[in-house]
Amino acid sequence: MAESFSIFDRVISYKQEINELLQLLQTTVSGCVCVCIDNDGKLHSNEKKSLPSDLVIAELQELLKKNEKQFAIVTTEDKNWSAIALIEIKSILCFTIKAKINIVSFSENIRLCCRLFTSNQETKASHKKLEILKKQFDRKFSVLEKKYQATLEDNEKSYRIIQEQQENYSKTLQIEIKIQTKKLMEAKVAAEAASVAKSQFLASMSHEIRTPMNGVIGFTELLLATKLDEEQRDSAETIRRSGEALLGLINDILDFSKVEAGQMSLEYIDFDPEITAHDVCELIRPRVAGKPIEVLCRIDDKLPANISGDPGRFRQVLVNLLGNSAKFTEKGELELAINVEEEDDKNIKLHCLIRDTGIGIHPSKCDSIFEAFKQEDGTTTRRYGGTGLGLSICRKIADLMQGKVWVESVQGKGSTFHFTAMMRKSTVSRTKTLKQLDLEGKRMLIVDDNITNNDILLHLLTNAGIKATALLDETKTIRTLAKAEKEGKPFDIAIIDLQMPAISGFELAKMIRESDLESKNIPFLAYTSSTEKIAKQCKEAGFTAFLNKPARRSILLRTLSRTLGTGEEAIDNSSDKKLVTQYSVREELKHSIRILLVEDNLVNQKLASMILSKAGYQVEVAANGKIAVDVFSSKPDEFDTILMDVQMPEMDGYEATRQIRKLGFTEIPILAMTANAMKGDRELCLEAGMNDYITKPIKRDIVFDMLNKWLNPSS
Amino acid sequence: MSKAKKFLRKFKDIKTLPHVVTNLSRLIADDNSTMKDFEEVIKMDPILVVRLLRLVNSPFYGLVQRVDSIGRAVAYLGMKNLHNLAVTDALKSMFNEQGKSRAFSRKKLWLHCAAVSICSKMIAERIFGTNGDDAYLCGILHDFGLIVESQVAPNEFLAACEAFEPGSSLIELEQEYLGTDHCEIGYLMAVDWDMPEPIQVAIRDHHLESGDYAPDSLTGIIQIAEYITGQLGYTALTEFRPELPDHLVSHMQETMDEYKVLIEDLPEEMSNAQDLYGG
Repeated sequence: MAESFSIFDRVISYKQEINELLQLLQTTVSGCVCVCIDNDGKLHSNEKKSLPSDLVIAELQELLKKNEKQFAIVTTEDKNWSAIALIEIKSILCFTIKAKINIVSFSENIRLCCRLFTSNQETKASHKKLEILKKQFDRKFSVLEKKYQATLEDNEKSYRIIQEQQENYSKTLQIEIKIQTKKLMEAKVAAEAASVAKSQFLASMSHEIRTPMNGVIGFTELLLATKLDEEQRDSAETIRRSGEALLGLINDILDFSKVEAGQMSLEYIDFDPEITAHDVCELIRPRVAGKPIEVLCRIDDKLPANISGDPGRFRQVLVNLLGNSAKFTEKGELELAINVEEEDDKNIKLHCLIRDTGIGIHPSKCDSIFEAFKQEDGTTTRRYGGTGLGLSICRKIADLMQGKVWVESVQGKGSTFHFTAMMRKSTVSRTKTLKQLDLEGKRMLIVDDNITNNDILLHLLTNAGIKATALLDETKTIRTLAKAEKEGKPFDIAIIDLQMPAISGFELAKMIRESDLESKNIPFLAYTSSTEKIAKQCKEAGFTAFLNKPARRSILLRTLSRTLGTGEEAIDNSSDKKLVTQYSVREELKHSIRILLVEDNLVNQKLASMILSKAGYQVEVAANGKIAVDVFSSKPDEFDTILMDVQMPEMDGYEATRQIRKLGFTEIPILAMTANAMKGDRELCLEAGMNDYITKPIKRDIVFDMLNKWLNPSS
Repeated sequence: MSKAKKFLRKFKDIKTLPHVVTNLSRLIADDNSTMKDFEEVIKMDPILVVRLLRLVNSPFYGLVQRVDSIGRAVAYLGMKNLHNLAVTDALKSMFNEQGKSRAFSRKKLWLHCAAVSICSKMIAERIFGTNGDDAYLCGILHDFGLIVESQVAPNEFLAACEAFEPGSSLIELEQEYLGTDHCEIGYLMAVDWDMPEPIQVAIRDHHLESGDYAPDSLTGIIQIAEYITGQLGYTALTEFRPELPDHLVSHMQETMDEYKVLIEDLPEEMSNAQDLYGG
């Protein structure tokens, strides 16, 4: 390899090596002259005298070129000089013998010497090479070591930079978070302020809207009570329905905003949830009129007659849920059931179930329908109406009552809404009288095609000590009556549904009356969910009494008692007598009631007094609180109750009430009328000594219910 | 220099270094870059990742453990080394195009560059005991000006090559036919690519016949390596035998024994580096 580098040849000198060789030859082979010719053609010899002539040298070089074998010895023609090539040191060794000795062995000795020398040189060279290699690799290792150190430093530096970057990053992030948090807080404060403003706005709006609505709805009702032709009636009905819908919407929005603003709170007063439940059913029944739907109400026996809670809100949830079910049900049943889930010394947890056989709800929507303005899907609003606020309000009210609202549903089969609420036990606990003594041991036949209704009635009647039998198939009625006669246990009374698939209640009653059964003249009670005016038809068919489904336990039992004639006011069941209904007694009472109406607004004055007079009450009007106090105190015996407006000039309702109470008239019921539907109004009214309050715009049903409640506590 | 600039600009219109490589050069020049930056840049080119890992695991580096991620490769070899590998990889493809002339072959030139770079690295590390990474990179780049010339002005360049005969100067011929030479172009390119300054200088001066640069300077090392590989036949042009300035000749003569050993080891190193420049 290195041979091709001419620059090295220029500087290489083999003088030292040649001298070493000559030295070696002198000591090992004596008696000869040795001359070395180096690569530059210079002669080196241990003897200066007998050097070969140039001619001899040329001859020897020529001979060596011909014989290139290693360590080959060539000899001149005169056999005087011989030569051997030494490739390693690029020289030629010439030698001649001085004495006459064996020339062959002598040459061999010289050759051996040369070999020895060559291998010696080779050993030296490889030693040297190894040394150099070692030196070079040492350098290389030190380079690698440095590189390794540098890499380590690099790595360290890299990690440091990365760490710094991360620190910076987290710092920036923290600052960013702080800024964001601050912004969020500001936004929150602003939003809360906006929310409060919104609630206040809504509250005052609702007040302002209610007052004109009072006039619209009230006078529409009065208008409807007058003689109208078909078209006018239709228009007036539409105005009333729309007005009521608008009022409902306003109430919903007000409630919602109250809850949102955290302003809705519950009150605790004694009420009977059973009455509430039946009220709700009665309220809903007209909404499903014309559809083949049974409205049922099932009350747990364990439910006390009196519990302490917020009847208004409780009722609102039930109305909402049942109204919701009614909206989405075309046929089948609506059942409202109230169960006691758990109770201890102080609290009682009610579990209400509102079951329907309507269209049902898709499982994925069962939760979202409780969010505000959410209905099952967009088409729901178009098909069924509603704002989507009702269920959301229900859930919020349930939250306030430490309960829950949820729904279980099978699409196409129906839904069951659950509503739980924690109530307090009433301090005045009234145990419910399950039994009606005069009915004990009586035998009753129930004929109804609705199995749930039969269950409820059987349960109720059996608890009352009545031996009741229920028939699902109305065609078996006559056979059952006959069989009972044969066994000597004839039925004392029959409760008959009016709408049944094969034979209607009317036909069945007629059939029995016209049969030759011994018990063909027992009293019949028509029990129906129909709201139509069918009293006359009932009478003609031979019914003794008439009750709307679902009837409260006490009303049902009392009606049965009256019908049977076993009660204190026995009624003749002959067909020319009046039909016994739940209203028959009340109507008689109304006409003797005298009311003092205290109201400053002329429109409202006129409206209220017209409504009340038309219903048969006797009304006297006072224009403000002061007049009211004067009028009442001058002739207190002439009034049975006072309807008192709250906001009036000169003397407001609170002050007037306080004065009347001060004068010692503690017994007379004073009922407030207020356009303020906000929280606290009720407290203010009660504080001032009023007994109850009605929210304006006043509606006939509510006013009548309220009057009924305070003037006719026995019903 | 303006002629050289024109050449370079034209060349850049046709061919550029891959983005990854220029990004890596930028990172090397930036003191604040980290291994992680480096790693992320390389990872952008998955094919490069595979090729680099193959090279890192080749016998040239003689690593005991197999390296299977760029992150570890950076940690083992350092950023500089990996950058060199990436440049080698990028340039290899540019040298790879088939030329038609007998006088000049890009393939032969590539072999020459590879030999010079490997030899330079050996000289730096084994004779002078200094880091050979820059020497390696310089060797790979030193004749790239020739590629630029052959790409931008192929006919003139081939004429210059054909006019070459032993003893004549290629630089002079380039100046005559092209108005510039590969040292000037190579220098501008190295500046353009953000190469370290010693590399720029060594590329510019690698055909300088006199000067006071030390043998252990990058210029000195490149010239010695060019001479040695030229003597062994790794030349760009068939008849080209580079001359060595006198002061470098005396340096080599003074340390003759060392160079002899190094020259003997060169073929083995070349075959170890087969993966780098071959294929």
